[in-house]
Amino acid sequence: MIEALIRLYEQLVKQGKAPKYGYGQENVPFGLDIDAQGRVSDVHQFGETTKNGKYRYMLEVPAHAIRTAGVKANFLCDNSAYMFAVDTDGASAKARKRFDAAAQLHEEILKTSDDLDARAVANFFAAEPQGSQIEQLITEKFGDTAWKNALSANFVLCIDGKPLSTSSVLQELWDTYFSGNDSIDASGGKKAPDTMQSIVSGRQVLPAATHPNIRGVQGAQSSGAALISFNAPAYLSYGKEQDLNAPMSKYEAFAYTTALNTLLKDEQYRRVINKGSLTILCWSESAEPEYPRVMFTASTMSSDADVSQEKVISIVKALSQGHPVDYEDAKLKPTEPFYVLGLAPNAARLSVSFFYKDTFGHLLSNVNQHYEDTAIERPGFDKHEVVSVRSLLQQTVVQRPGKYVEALDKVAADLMQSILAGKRYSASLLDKVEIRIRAEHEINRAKAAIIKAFYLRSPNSGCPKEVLQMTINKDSTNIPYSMGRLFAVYEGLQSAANPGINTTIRDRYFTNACRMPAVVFPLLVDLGTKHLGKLKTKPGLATYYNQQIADLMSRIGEQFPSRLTLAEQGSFQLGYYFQTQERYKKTNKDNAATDQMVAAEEGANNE
Amino acid sequence: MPVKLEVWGDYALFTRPEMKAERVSYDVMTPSAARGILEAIFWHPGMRWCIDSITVMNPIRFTNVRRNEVKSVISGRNIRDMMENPAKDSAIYTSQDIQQRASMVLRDVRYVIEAHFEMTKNQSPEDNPAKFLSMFNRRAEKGQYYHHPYFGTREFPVNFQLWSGEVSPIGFEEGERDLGYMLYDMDFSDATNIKPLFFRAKLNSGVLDTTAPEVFA
Repeated sequence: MIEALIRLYEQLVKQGKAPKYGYGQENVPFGLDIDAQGRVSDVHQFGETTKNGKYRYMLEVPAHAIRTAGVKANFLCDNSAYMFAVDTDGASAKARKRFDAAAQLHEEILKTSDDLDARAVANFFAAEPQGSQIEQLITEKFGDTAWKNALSANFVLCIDGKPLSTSSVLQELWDTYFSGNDSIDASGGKKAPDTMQSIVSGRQVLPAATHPNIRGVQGAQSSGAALISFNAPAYLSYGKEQDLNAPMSKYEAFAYTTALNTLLKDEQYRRVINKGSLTILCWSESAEPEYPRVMFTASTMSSDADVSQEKVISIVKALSQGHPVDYEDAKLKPTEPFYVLGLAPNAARLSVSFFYKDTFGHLLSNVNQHYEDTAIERPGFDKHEVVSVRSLLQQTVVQRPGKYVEALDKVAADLMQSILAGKRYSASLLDKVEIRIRAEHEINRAKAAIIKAFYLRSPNSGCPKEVLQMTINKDSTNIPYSMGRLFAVYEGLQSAANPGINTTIRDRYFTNACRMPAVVFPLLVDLGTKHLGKLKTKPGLATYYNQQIADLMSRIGEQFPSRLTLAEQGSFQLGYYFQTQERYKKTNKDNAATDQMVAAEEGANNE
Repeated sequence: MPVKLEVWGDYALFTRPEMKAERVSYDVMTPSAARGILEAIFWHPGMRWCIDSITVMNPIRFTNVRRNEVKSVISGRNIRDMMENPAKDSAIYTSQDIQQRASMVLRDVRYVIEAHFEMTKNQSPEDNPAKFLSMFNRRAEKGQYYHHPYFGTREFPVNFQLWSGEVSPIGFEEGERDLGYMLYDMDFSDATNIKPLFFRAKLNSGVLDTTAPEVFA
């Protein structure tokens, strides 16, 4: 996985999407113009104000050190304390110490060079800090409040308004320093270890003691979290400390973290599932953003996507059958290696929920399989061909009107994995849905789809294949299934006999009919007779229901089973769902679909 | 003196060194884990196990679990203190020291380990390879072990039996699969600085060949 991330980083650098090794993107709102003697001659303000009135200008500058408590200076670009010994407390001793550290660092990097720019920078730091001059310049140019805002913001040294971080001479000096610094960094002040074999390249390298942080995983600490870290003695082996337990060169550590940070910043590569309990990153070997975009839209089917479901389905079908597809500017190849990484936040650490590496086409064929497994007859008003992940997840929790309740993290993560990897659906998903059915006495399309898809992938004789179809199976003699249908018929009969009734048999008996039919069904049969009696004025309708009941009864036999297993309950529920859909079809006579026309005609004939 | 041992179990966790705090397993068993299993059944100072190959019999499947782990390690000095002065209490109390950590573990694994052993300079005069081999075979046949062999962590016990089939074991898939760098074993030659060694792991039709690991010097 780390190896793939490093390859991705190299690809991103080539495309100019990630900073080079030794550099990082920082917000640098100010530039300080200096002359050859290192005197500040002008102050520039870069970028635009954001909503909260702060200036924002992202610039690629020499990589910033991770600061916790200690004093660590950065090259060419830093905050006010390091650049001119003024912090929010004014020209304090602490700020002076920081400036001195910066001066020392620049002296070390620049001592060998006699380049004009380098000398100017060296002069800037060799002289006394020029805080008061800079304060004067800023106040004159941008007003009184600007100075206050500028404190603790980043400044970059410039010549003629051009940031020196873009100067090739200074970049070269920095590169030599940065890579030459590897050995210093690796020892971390302790006994210097010699080289170790790298975990990703197999080569002998100087291992980095700490790796850069990863920012942007929702739910983790905003200052960044570590993917690779060892924070307690039990996780160390053989006396190795920190990241020496996973030896990796400084470059490799930089590459994989930068790759992750770049993906996390970009909406195209990242999706957050379930309010941040899971962050999914996708990328292809080529790092083109169209691949992950298609994958996300296809796997979640969220309604906010800008392409229609039909379009997505056709793309998925073509790619999973091995045909390349043109999408926006890219030609999507089914053979493209593709990676999916699920990260779960855990305060200062990240944990890997899953990682898949496969060809793009194969992963999409898993997604397509999910479409097929969850495909189920839908009511006329439902315009979506595929049930979205969000609405599948909603079936596992209590829904209150106007309030979105999140599904359990584990259920969400498992479902995404089932879709992407073609694995079985998790038992907890089904379990949660069954609990909701028991409480709500209602089976909608998404619930029926989950039951059907679950038993398709985890075959169970209690819920046989003959009931796991897209539409009703009128030939099935499966007993629980027939009982489910019978229940729906009784419900229809009741509403025909007592139109507008408040509490129906579904509210009263559904759960128990499903679990202990032998207790409930005799009661229903009894009630059914009474309801039939009420239909004397409509003999056609009475005959219609009578026929249906007799037909289903003959399949169930003399005795109702005393108990149904969970799988048999699933079969019951599917039978109920399909039969209910039949009833709705009958009422929606104007529906255009052909099969529904036929069904409607049958209903009319029976009446 | 090759031996073939079939091992299987419900779960396995061969922790990747880089994913250790929140554990993630390697795709297949590492050679050092295989060595550990053989050593649990039979080991002697006069011998050293060398793993030749590991055949992966079941498809690679992962699952995610949360487990309680203890974050501290006990120090030798504390134990000595406690032995000298029993009133002193430096034990680790798991209930106070517990942490919940996620682990990505392998499910339903089955491997065949092929290995041989070499004699070391610590053998006594009456030791010889044939003796060790028959000791190992006898123990493995009877299901004896010094400590229960496990798949990576102690929670995941190993079932084992000698591979009795005439034919060689067959891997779960055809073709080649690159698994990246994998822990080969620890280099114990310098006791003050024990280093991990890695090798490029490749599955060839489900077989991990570990005879010629490219351990870079």
